[in-house]
Amino acid sequence: MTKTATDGDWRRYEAEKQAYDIIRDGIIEDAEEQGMTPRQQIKLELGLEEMLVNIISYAYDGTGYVWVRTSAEGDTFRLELADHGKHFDPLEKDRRHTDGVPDIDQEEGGYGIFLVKKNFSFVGYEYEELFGKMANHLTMELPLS
Amino acid sequence: MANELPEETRQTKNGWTVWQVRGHIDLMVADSFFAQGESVIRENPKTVLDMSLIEYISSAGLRALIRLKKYASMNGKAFTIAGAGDLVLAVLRDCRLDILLEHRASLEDL
Repeated sequence: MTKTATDGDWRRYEAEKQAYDIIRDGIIEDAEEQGMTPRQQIKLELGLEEMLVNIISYAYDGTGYVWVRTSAEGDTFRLELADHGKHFDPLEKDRRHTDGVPDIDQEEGGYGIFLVKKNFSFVGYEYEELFGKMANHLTMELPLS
Repeated sequence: MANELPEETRQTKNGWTVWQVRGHIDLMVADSFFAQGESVIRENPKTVLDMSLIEYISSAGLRALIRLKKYASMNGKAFTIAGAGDLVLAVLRDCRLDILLEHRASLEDL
């Protein structure tokens, strides 16, 4: 089934823990409206949790905003996240051991970024001007089915 | 982000304490999930986490599982996992944690 391209508007939220559920539910709702399968929604939730929590937890020393935009073209769902926080490329943070079975003594982190890279068909990061300031701009694409 | 407790039950099977958790194991419940598991492992020599009712696990949940395995190992206890459904098992396999945590297809395999 061919879907027409839809470009949503940027939505702005306070980058704080209390907003996490609202942001997540809005993104999942957008994906559902575009016909994303439940299996793909699980992958989407995995990815957005990892990236969104990074922004909420580490982007700002004080208060700040996170911008969210979703769109769809053909069989691809696109999620974009932007913030005016510290310059940070989350894709450099894959600390997972990639060879063989992980060791029990290895660092516990790194799985989130690894899973994002594995499950999404495209993940890109740019540091560019958005909304009048330099911004971290993350784009993630995932097949709808 | 609410810090909700995952719904859990405990029973015994073939000398193992079966700790069953239901729902999503994500950032919101990861700390509570770890605390529950730590308590079960501390009180029992052999614990298996029945994952058959876990619908979703995020990287925060994976970190909690590794911490539980470490806790068990450091305290001379056995800890393993069983019964993960397709979606959860796919995540575990992607990270090769099914091998580290010695995943069994079902509790009958204990």
